[in-house]
Amino acid sequence: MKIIKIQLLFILFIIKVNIVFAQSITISGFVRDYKTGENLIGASVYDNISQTGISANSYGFYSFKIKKGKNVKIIASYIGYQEMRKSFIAKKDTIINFTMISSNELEQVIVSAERKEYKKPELSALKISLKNIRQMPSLSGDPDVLKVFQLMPGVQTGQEGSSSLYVRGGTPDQNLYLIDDISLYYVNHLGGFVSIFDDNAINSVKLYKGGFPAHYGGRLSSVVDIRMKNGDFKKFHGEIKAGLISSKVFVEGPLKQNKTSFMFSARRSNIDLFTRPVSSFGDKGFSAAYTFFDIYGKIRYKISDKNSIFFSTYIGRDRISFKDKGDTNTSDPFEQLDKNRYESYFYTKWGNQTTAIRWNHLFGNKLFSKLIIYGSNFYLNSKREYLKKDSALNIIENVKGTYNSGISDLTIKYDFDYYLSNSHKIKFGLNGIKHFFKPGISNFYKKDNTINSDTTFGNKNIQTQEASVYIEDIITLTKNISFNIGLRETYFNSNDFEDFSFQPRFILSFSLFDNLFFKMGYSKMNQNLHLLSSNGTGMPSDIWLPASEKIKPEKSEQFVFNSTYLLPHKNFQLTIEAYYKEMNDLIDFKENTSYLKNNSDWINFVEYGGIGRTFGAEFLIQKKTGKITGWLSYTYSKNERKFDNINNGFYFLSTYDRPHNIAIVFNYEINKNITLSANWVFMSGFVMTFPLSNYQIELLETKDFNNELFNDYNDLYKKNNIAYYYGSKNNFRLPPYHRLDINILFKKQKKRGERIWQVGLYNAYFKKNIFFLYYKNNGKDLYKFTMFPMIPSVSYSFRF
Amino acid sequence: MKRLVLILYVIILLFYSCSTKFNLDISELHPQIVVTGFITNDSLIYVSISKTSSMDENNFEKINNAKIKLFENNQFIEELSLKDDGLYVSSDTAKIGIEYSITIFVNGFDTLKSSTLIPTPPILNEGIVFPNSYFDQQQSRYASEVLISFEDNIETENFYQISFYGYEYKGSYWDWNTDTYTITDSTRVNFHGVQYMNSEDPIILNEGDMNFYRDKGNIRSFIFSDELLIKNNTLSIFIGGIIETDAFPNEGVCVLRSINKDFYKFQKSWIRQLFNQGLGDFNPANMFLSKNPNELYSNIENGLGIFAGYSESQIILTVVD
Repeated sequence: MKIIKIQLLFILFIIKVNIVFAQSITISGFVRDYKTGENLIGASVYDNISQTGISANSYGFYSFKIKKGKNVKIIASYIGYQEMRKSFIAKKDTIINFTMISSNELEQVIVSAERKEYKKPELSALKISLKNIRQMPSLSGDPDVLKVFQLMPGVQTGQEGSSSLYVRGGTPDQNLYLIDDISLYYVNHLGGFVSIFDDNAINSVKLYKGGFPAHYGGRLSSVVDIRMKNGDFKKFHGEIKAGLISSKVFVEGPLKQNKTSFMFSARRSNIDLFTRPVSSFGDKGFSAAYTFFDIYGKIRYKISDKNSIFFSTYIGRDRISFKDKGDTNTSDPFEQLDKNRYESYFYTKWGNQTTAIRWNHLFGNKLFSKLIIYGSNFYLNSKREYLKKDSALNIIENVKGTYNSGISDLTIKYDFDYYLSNSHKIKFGLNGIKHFFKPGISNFYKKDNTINSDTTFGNKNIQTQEASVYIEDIITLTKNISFNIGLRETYFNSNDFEDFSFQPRFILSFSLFDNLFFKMGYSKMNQNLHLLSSNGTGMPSDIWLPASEKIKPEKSEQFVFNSTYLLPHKNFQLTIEAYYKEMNDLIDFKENTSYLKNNSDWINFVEYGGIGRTFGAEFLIQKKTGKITGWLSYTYSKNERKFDNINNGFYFLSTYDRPHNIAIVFNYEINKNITLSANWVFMSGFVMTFPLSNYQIELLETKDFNNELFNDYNDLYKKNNIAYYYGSKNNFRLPPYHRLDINILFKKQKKRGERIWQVGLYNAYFKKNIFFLYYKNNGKDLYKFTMFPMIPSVSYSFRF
Repeated sequence: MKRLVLILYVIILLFYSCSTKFNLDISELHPQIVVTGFITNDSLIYVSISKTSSMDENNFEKINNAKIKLFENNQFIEELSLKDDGLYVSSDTAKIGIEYSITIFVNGFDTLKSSTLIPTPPILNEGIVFPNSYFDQQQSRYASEVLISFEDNIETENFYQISFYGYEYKGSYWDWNTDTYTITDSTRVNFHGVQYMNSEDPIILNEGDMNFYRDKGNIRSFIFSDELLIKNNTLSIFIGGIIETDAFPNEGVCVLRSINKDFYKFQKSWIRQLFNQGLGDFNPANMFLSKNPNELYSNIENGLGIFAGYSESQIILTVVD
């Protein structure tokens, strides 16, 4: 009943505001890049006389009202672009499309645009420019969007080198990755060391770590919203790049001037070029290879100013394979014959495929809509085959095994942005998702002289349905106070289970003076999918599973307080943010299960009903303009978990609890052609469970010690009757982690484009950080394994 | 030049990652007392007392000056006597249905306490075996399916341990030249014989431990609860090794134990610690697949270890061709 009352009040408020603005006209249009026609997402458009305006949405669309008959001076501004102004008398509804020219010089414009950004009721959102991302050092030498976010406060890295994000105590499965509104399930290559996101194909990227607007839902901890380029409407552009880890090609341009454009980007790893020859060095019949690739494609068709259709696709895959054809370099004919009698093959491949069609439509000049229908598929397929031959090389035994898992979605989304008035924008929409889960199915086939068997076992495929509606009201109450009130309701249904979740969201923004801003927010999130992760680092073999009667949807509540201070004159900004987050109905493996070897139902090895609590304070000092840019971030956080059957039911530190995180990022444009970038990171070590002492279990359970039976069948225990005492889970913190990365870009303008040499050094001062620990000599000696003491990188690219 | 750069890169990538010894600075803990005692009907009660050791010493000091008081249904019966190094024994045998409690006094430590009950032996109705009737595709080997019928008391929470062994003749040999089996001494003796156990029975699979058993291969008993049991149950288990062919006239024996809940929890936690403590030599697979180790269950107040009861029944398996 309370909810209905709130909703009625909400509708009345909307009607009231609409009446107030009855005597006004609407200024609307799109803000785009002059050269490429790309949308300038978040560009600020406002009337300098009445001091009213708005930010462009993710398609560059804006709409706001001004009083009829008045003089107006419309200013469009965007970071890194020259400000544009248009003055006229507001007589009737007017469409103004801004095509803005980029510039790196105009710092005042940037500051002015930034100030408007800070006043928006948007909280815990991180936005990094593509220019910054491209300058930053990276492990592979290829810009990595996700790894740059790991240098921001509140975002932590897991295993060294991994692109997985741990946002405010969450786990990688709690991050919603959206490419043009399409969700992806696995976003890494190379075991997590390289993310799938290709900087060439990206227009903008934003990460929300709290204060989630109601139009986002489905995950607990973060939203990574990536917008792809639409393709240049006017000219062809491209880039080719060759690096040590990967090479890529990018091209965009018009298919029909100002009507149809395309974008195509492809990347392929080069690792197999090294591994194939190295692996067959001693045995030419043997080869091992690892490859990955990404292909992004998009076509935009502008039917009219009010209608556009987009078709986009993404295909990415990793593949690891071993092949032993039984061929050797030996000259011994007997050895050769023996080897020829056995052949074995193995491969595992995993990846994402998405295909989407989108229709953007403008109803009048105030209601922007986008309808998206897409399919996405994440899969992991593994196959091994073994052949045995007789002396005449006829196959006498053939053994095959396969393992398949994955998740596919079929989704329809309809989103609306309604520009009710200058101080009032409403976003609303609905979506429906059909999930197809394949939680792991194995097939075993054997054929020889005596047996011919074909068996399939594993978990059953599961289908679930999910539907959400949301409404988000963005209200500017006064010049200095605005808020975003939202509500999201989700219905989830699987075979034996139904769930309704009510997710309120709220952000209040207010400013004091012109350079001091405060924000606070609350958001409740719901996640109907669980990820069974072998070690929490985000491996492709992890299994997605739906919520059920027994294993309920995960839920979180987060409170955030934010304050930003713009230092006068120096273009520095200081942001302090504090948060508290509680998560419920988390899952984990039962203590010491190893699921890959387990053929019983997954529910048997899952602990559920877990609680997570995490809190922290984040500090960020940032300089975005000038020859020297960069930031310093520090996060203090605590991250705990509690399960009834883990750690005797007491709270324990999450595996990735790292209380202190420091990152210093430094970019220096030495001159027009040379840019030097460096970053230094420091983190508390992660926690592990180590035995504190050991003890002996005496096997006395026999009748006067003369019953051979027990001692016999407990042979295993007799040999291993030393038990270990741990005290508590995650009882030991490893030494801190730190490293310095350096990157230099050498650019040169050539006749047909720009040439860029990139030279980088990962972990420049050889810090031997711990990648993992292991025992030798039956547990007596502990060793640390360092994966990346120092990794150089070099790449060449040419942009035209 | 380009080739040189590539080669250098590969060398750096492959060989600069390295292993070095890591000194774990864990402060010395005050040692704890470890108590072990499994008791069964018609057997003397044995209790072993020792101390925990630091990880780098493995010196498990036996306690020979402890005082162990034994109670039956809360009535003091006797003080256990020292039989061997750290090993104490009662003067009388244990019985079914009586709650046994021990109170242990060791100088410098808090008083330790524990209690247990020996459950009623299970009722075994029938045990039949189908020799070599099952081919395990994962293990690529044959095994014999055994069907065990037994009764469960649905009124109470029960836990079981099942195992197998065989009877063989004391003196016998196989003559490979004549393909004949000759008995020289017809006295029957038991032998473990079980080289392998597997099951696809939901009662066993429900425990979630099959992966551990399969890994190790030589586990010769399964532990299970009555969570899925009804009054009369038939359990299907595949065993390898006791009855290979008709040529060997061995007899298979099934031993079914009723174990109390403490025994069950202790054994299960031990199985998991053994398989996942990650203290074996380096295995790259463990890097991504292993989980944090778990603590052994204990029902000893102020100490570690276990004091638990069990009882058992046996049945000779009937061979069905």
